[in-house]
Amino acid sequence: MSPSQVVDVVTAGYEVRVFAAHPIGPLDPSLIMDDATAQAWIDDQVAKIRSGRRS
Amino acid sequence: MSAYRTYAQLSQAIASLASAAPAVCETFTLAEPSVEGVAITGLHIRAGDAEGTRNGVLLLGGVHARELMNPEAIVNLAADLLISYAQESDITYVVPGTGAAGATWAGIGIRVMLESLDIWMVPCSNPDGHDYVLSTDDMWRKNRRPETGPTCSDGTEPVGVDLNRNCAIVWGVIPANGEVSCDPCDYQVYCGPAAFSEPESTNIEQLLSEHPIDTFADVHSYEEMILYPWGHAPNQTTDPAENFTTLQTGTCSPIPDASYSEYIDPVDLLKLQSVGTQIASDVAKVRSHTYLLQPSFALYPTTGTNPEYAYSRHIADKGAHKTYGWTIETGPFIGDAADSFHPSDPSQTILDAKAAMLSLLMQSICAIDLIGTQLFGSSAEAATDPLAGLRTRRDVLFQSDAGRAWLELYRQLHPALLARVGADADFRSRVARLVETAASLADDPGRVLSDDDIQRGLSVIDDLAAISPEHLRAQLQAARALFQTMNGFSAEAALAVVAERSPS
Repeated sequence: MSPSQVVDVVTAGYEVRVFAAHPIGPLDPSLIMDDATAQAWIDDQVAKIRSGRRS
Repeated sequence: MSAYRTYAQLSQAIASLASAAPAVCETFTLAEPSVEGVAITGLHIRAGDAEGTRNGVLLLGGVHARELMNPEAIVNLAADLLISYAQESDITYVVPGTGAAGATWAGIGIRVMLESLDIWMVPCSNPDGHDYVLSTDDMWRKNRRPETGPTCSDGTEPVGVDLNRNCAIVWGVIPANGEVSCDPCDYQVYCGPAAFSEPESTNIEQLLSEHPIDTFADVHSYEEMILYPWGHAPNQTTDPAENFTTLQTGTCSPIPDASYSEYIDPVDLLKLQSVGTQIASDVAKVRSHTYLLQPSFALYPTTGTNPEYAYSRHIADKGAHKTYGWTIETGPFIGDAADSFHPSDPSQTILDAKAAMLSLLMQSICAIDLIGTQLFGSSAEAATDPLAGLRTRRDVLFQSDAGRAWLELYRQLHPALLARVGADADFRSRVARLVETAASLADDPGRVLSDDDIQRGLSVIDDLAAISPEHLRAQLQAARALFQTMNGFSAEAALAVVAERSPS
């Protein structure tokens, strides 16, 4: 359906909802933590816990 | 920004946290592995030496696979709690440059929290779906159950059940305009072949059955909302007979009576709203985002959801523990659904989510319960609950405007009260005596307040006023003035007065 046809349909009193199809695919790999980063986070948190008086 | 961990990395994180703080927490494995055989682990936090039953809190994330921020938020919150407890430090969530003051929880409050609650965290309850999002389909929502049935219209085989439609609360009923489906090919909201057909949802049922969970938050995305029961119909507070136990389940059609409304106990409704209001208020402190508080039904009608199931249990089974359940919908929508479910930088939304969960945890502590447990032992150990009379009187207060105003004052004073109780043994002992007196008054109609009782109460009010926020001091003065007049009052007489005169 072209944009002008959408305008015609809306003018005729209809409601038009346009959905953009999302292609099936994996999460952007750059958003996934690598093991080294995950381990660095753990090491940082564990060090803070162990440095406390009530560890 | 590499924001999201695999399920294995999330599991490793909580295992490492537990190893670092073995006196405070331990990992646990849920009863059933996932459909694909993955062991599902959680973290149980319980600090301190106090024995007996504590208020239980369950924080659940990752039910919907693509909502990747929330498993991160729960694991990060666990670390924040353990660091605060170990270092006796405050927790502060603030976004630089926003102008917001930030949300702070005092270290002493965190200590009281960890030493008085049983906190159960299940950061990622749907590991198969979680990793499928990372590896194959970033909009996947359900678990990974291969379904039997005809090939779907797009040529694929049906896979997956929506784990937030699979619980035994009006299961398999499709509300008008609702977000539930009996079609195994439905990409989003297939409710499964039976209630609790899925091991991942059975796990939640088992947790709720095995532990006395008082408050429960299921953390989802994306909306900026706090939702409370019910989800399948509008709430009503007048006709207890119109309740879900009378509804047929598994019909794959709407509730036959289009005018049906679900009964909710008015006192419970107030509690759900009051706690939800405070959660929204605490979230707003982080970066001034407004989380809308409303019944689940107002978002869209649903059946078979986790928080509604949790709250329904004590109604369907009179012997079941009552669990107040909320859905925390973290957000916001940022123009595209996929980006909203897993934004490239979720750090600010994770602060919102952590503030919401901390707020619920803090509100799950009841100072009176805490002191009562120390005084009398746990209710599980006692033949009868020694605070039952007090609880009944408290529920009476919910029934008048003035009574609710007193309870609201108590709720606002609660953080200061808890902090002082945790830090000052003398204060704790004086409050304990007051609780003992109140319990005795509640249980014995012939017992009246003595002058000594009044003087002890006034001293606690004065100490509390000294550490309370400025805006509450006028109300505490009103409380003081009223309490001074109660010499010789029974519990009934005192209640009658406070039900008529609000503190402001």
